[in-house]
Amino acid sequence: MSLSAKDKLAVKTFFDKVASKAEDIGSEALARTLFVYPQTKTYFSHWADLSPGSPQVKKHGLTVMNGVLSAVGMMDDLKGGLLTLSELHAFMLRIDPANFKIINHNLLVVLSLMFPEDFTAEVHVSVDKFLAQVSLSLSEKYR
Amino acid sequence: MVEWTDFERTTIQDIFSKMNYEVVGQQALARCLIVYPWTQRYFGNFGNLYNAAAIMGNPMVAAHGKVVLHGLDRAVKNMDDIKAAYAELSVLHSEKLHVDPDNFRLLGDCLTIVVAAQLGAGFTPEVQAAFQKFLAVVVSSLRRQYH
Repeated sequence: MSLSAKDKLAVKTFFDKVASKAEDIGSEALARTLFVYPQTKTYFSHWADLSPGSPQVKKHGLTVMNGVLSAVGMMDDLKGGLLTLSELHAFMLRIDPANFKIINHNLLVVLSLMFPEDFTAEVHVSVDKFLAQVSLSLSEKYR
Repeated sequence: MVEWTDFERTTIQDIFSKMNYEVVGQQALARCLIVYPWTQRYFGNFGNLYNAAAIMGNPMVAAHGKVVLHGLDRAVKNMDDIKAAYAELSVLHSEKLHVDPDNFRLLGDCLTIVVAAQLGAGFTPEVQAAFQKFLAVVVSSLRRQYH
């Protein structure tokens, strides 16, 4: 299920449009991940405040979203481009890769509610494929 | 027996009482067929499903989307025993329609995304949690009679 030229164009066009809202998108997606899938909170036991509006959630949401946005520019070689981030997730953070699917789902939900006109079915399928490829590349160094 | 909080019950009743079944049903099924094209395997007689535009404009998809969405009414009306309420439909999907139960989750995800677009900011994390819990119970009940 690799990215066609059409997918790459759809992804790039859509994310260029919404990039300015990176903090809102990222923090909402992260907040929903923590709230709707409480098992994900286990990775953040060192945070004081895990509630949706918390400054830590906001800041980290932006970090995650910036990662996604940088991946948009690497679509021709996601594995190579995300090598360092993969090492980070595999060796330092050791996040179970099953969780990538969870945050991806919440990203889609947030994009849909924030940009209902732009997040058409065609954009949805390309973004879903893109996020799946990002997750795969992030999982690369796990074993 | 699934435990529902008052908030969850109210949220589910609210979403479905305000639901535009025609629009949301069509959108959710069309999106499922577009985003997960292998689901088209169950709709060989639906005519033109060749591309997103065709799927979006297909009247059989629209009609069937509405049927499927109304299928959820059974759960909305019987929240305290969804398992029993879906026993018959579960047998139907398994024995007659031969639908891989993984598809229930895929359609559920598309429905969540369509409802999110409809409700916008009103689709808060709390509402999302209630809605997804509801769909998870429905999906589990639909899987129940498979053997």
